[in-house]
Amino acid sequence: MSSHSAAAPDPETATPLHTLAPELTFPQFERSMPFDPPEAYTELSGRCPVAPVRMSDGNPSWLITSFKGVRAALSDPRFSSDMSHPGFPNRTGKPVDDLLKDTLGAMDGERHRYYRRMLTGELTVKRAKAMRPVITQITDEALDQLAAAGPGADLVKHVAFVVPSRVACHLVGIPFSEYELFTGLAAKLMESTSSADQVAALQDMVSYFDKLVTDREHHDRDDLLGHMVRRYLATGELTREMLIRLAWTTMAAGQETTAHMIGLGVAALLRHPDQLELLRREPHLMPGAVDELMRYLPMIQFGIPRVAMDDVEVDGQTVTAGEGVVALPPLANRDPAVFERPDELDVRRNARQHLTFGYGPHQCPAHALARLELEVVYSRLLERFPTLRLADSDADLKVQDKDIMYRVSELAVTW
Amino acid sequence: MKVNLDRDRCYGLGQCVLAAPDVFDQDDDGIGRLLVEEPRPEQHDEVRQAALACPRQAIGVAD
Repeated sequence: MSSHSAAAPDPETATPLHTLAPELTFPQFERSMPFDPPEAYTELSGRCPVAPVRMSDGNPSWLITSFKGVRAALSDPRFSSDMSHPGFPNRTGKPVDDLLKDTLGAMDGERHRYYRRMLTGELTVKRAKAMRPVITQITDEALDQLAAAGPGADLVKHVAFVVPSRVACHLVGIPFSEYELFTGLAAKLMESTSSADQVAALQDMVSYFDKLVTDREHHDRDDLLGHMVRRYLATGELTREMLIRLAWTTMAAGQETTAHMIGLGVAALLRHPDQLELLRREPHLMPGAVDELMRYLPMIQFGIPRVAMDDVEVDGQTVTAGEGVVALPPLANRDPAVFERPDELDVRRNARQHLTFGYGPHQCPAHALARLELEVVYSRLLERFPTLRLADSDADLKVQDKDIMYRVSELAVTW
Repeated sequence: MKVNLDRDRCYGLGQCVLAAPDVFDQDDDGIGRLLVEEPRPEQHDEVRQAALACPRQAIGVAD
């Protein structure tokens, strides 16, 4: 197998992006089925897997919707994650976020690898598995709260938003009593509209983590911050500034995504009673079901952006140096060339290759932990509430469908 | 079947450990370790799964 998955560009297919009429504007939100991607993408994907689109800021970009194309773009070192590059796709229409500058997600090559390895050691499969008892305890406590709230309770509020946050606190080393302090700081950061507000909010976040780091410099703590202080800060491999940046961005990245997968996943199972019944009868199918739900559910709305640093061929289309691409995993996850009957939820299928965690050097470093959390939450929920169902099975699902992540905003359940 | 793992390419994602836990492991930095170079026939399928899932294409399989 060659080390690069994309071939050398063919001059025949090299049409500059700005000369092409856009197939659609990106992102699209209109969908008729709650668990399917917007129809405009589905239609485009079959016809043109690497298509010219107009981003919401008016600039052109390539939209990649095939499995082959998404994997090629996300694993090819000729594509950069540097969001300050002028050709980098701007999905939100807002100016480049200073906040995300020099975070792991925006780094390339050796610099990325250097910092990334410090996190992967904390997130190995072994380390995730060792957290199973804690995850189970946190889940059972959340299910107690759901039970106490009584039939009709909101699963999103009592379970989906609780478990991933508590697990992330445990992992990083934030006392759960201070969790709301952290989310308050994170919300202030994300919602800041002026750069002065943002600088102030970032300063508050850094000060909070600085205290946690100081604590680890004086006490041995068995958590991510404690390990990183001893292994990398004490040895000079990591500056205090970068340690704090890695810690708070890890904390922020890991929670909402998992929370939304809990809400969407439970909603999808309750809407597919045959699949739910199969999982109740054969609980050993759950790890595979987690991957299948992640494949099937179109959570990622704005895709994964990159900019070409050289001419690269992606699934038959030459992308010219300086042009932007957006890889769209929910469409790649339904590529019929890879997944048979792609629009069907089938918990028996092998869906391990799905691209919801991304692909290549930036693939989610916490995938093993996220998979385990989802497995424990779905499993314990079905065990604890054998008659679990939607409180109103005829009502439309309550979704937030215009945000960066497609999600169930409220899920009233009964039992 | 012979398996090789390019530890210089590996980014420590552990997809291989999930797919074929008796063939792959991770060291303390998460970097992959090969436990078995010549897996048994009943392990061949999961080794191929591991090679497919590797986001760095660091696993080579020769039949």
